[in-house]
Amino acid sequence: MSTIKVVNLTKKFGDFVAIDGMNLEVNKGEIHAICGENGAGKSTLMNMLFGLLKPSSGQIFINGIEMHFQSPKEAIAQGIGMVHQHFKLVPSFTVYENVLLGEEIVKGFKIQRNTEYKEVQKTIDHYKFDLDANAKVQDISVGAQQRVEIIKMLHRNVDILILDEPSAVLTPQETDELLDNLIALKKLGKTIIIITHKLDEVKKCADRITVIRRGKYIGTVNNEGVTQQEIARMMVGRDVNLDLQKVEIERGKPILTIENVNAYNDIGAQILHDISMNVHEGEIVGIAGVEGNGQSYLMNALSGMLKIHSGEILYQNESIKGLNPRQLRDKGIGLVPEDRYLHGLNKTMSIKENIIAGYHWRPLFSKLGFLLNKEQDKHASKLAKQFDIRNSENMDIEVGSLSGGNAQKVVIAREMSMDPLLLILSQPTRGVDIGSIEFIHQQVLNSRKKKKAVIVISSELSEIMTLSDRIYVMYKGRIIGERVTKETTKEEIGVLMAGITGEEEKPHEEKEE
Amino acid sequence: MKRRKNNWLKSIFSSLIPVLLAFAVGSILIMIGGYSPIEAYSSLFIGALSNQNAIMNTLFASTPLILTGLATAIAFKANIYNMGVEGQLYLGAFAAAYLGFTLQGMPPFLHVAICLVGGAFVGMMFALVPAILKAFWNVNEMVVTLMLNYAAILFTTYLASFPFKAPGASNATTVDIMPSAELPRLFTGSQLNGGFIVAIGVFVLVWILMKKMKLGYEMNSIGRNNEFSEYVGMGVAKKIILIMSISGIVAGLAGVGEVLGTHRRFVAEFSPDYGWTGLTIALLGKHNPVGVLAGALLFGILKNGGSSMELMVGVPRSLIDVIQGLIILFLAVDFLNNQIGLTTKLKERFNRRKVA
Ligand SMILES: Nc1ncnc2c1ncn2[C@@H]1O[C@H](COP(=O)(O)OP(=O)(O)OP(=O)(O)O)[C@@H](O)[C@H]1O
Ligand SMILES: [Mg+2]
Repeated sequence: MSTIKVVNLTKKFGDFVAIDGMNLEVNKGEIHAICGENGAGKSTLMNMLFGLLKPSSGQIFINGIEMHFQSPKEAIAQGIGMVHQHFKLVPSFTVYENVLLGEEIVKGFKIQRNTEYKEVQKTIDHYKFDLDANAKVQDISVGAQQRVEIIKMLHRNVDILILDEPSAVLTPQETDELLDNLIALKKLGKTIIIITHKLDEVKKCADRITVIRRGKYIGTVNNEGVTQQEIARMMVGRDVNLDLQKVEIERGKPILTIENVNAYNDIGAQILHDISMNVHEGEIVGIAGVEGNGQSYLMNALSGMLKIHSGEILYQNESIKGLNPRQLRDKGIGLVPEDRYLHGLNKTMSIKENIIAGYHWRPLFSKLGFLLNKEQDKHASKLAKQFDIRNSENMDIEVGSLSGGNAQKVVIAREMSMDPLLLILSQPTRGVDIGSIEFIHQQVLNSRKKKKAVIVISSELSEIMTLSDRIYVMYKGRIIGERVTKETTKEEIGVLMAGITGEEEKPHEEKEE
Repeated sequence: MKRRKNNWLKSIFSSLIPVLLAFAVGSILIMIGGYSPIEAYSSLFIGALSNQNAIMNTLFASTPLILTGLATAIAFKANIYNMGVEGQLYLGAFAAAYLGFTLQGMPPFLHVAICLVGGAFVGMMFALVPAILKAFWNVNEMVVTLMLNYAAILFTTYLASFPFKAPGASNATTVDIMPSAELPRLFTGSQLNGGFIVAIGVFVLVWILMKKMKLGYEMNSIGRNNEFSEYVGMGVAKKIILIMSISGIVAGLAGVGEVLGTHRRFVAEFSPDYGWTGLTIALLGKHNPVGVLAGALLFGILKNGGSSMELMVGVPRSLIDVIQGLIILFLAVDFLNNQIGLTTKLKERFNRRKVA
């Protein structure tokens, strides 16, 4: 018997039908992957199973009994746990305190810290997770934080674990570890539902795969005997081509040259070491590296958000060191930041307001201090069509209600719409579905064709390999290697990303700290 | 479009709730006092709105509140906590009085204009202190503006008590301003004066600023997400200074209007907490200029109708203060609710009990 059964489930937001007559069956003890484009309704569906959203109509059965969850607490009581993409941990608390948050073990008025620690460590050991119950959450890696979230659920004895895009924030190694953990949990009898846009992960761990498209159930297939191409076709409804053909382009003169840039953080530790690199007209330069090796700082330095201590940044032979984001944009530099909801978008403002931000002072959108409403509307609808931003018929709705991938398209559309001479993208396709990845990559290649310069910072090695003409690899705040894409392999870059240069030099050590 | 309209209704509704609750609790108090709440409230509204004269006086009472409410709302919209409207009002008022009694032989229109500009300028300069501290050194503006209120009130009291005290006056006031500096009364028999025209003019300008102009868009954006606003190049530090300046100008004008239109001189500690009432109104009006206007009119009604309630029904006028206090209390509950989701938590708890 299936442990979860969803019958004719529908969820409406106002007039908009996000989930439309959905049917789903998940067997006990399997890993079930849910695939679909951005905005297909995956998160909405899972949020209903977890009691975060109430269905408009339809039924949910857990082990044969119909459920009407009012809150996640009730879902957990029925053995359903969910881990969200954005963690909800208290950084200054220890792992065990976070796991027991809201369910402290109390005797009289005193919290039994020792018992708490032991209980949580017992759970961790039982599931053989690599985690120290006594560590502070702020000191552990993102991957470990995710394990805390999973343990939090397991500690409440859930049988069904839902993970919404768990690998979006993880490094490749951490992802492998996560998948191993999930397979181990399955062997212990847990049922797992995983949402992911990365089909190789699906192939690695899932037993069965359900595809949904535009809120509708498309089908469920066994992992065995289905190819990534076939899953992609079910998702998008057409063939997806991820091996984009790059035309040969003669690269032009250098657009951006970075020379020996050093930068320090607030407490004086060096975060960028002697960075030198360049990008030319008609060239895409990739910056590879495992996340947390200084790419974010480099992006901030290039966006005018981080002060450079020494070194030079030349844009068209002119120093742009110390310019603010507005001046950079006015010089024709487009910036797609890494954190979509912190720097990229203003979640509670409308799509329209977001899509002109950073360019709103241009004569195109404002005159004598007044905003030109009509021009804005025109611009926004044009971009929505051009960049295929789904479910955005109404430009006045909040960006926060768009699905993750569509929200990213708003940022990309905004920055590309002004036809920048230099485009800098950080993690441009994180959490974006394959159809949209293809689309965004196509746009980036078009910029190259138009003789623009592009920098792509990504921890997704395959993205770097398909897009870039040249690759720099960052490790611990330095650039430890430069390769021409045609003359290198994924393996070689992977080795560099791990900090192994293979040259007869001492490994780079952190002198500071 | 539909969703927009819904939000609109929703925010009007959520502003009405604290007001209605305050009236409800007030009626319990009235009943305890042995009076009829219906009679009391109807005499309140009749007293404030029943005839032309009453309406004029209500508008008169609302005038400074429109300005202090707008001053607060402008800053709050951008998430800048200007708690110093009261102090900015005092300095603006004194500056206007000073210009009003020192400049001689001016054509009336020009003299009034100079006083308005002077008071606005001083209000702005005073608001710049916390603004610069916040923009460049990230000093908490809430603390600074709160403290500076005391400085402003004490300083103006000193000025009116010693250097500029009117000869022979028994309390701390300056001499009267020149007739040329007076904002004239609009109708005989009512205190309503040109200050109201100023307030409405400022309201229109602030509405245009917040709804139609680039700066209004940026205020909104900064208020919602500072990091984003910086990243898209709004230059948040400079905008903080600009927004605080505008807030200070409006607060200063509130003081100018009171001096030129009502008192015709500077009286030490003349403000019955106009600045603080403005804060309540800004919160009630959800930082929206139209909401602020409505809130200021409501508070004007309460103030003006209070005396006729006392006269006609016998309910003491201090009930009005209680109702205002209750509105603040319920606003605070509403605020907490938005911040930590109080009702959702209660609902959850309730539901859990139902299931268990
Ligand atoms: N609270 C809401 N109000 C209005 N519309 C919403 C709301 N939440 C989601 N939607 C809409 O429902 C649709 C489905 O969203 P959902 O987040 O479930 O997509 P998803 O499949 O998880 O996409 P992604 O892969 O990008 O995360 C989207 O079009 C989204 O705009
Ligand atoms: Mg999602």
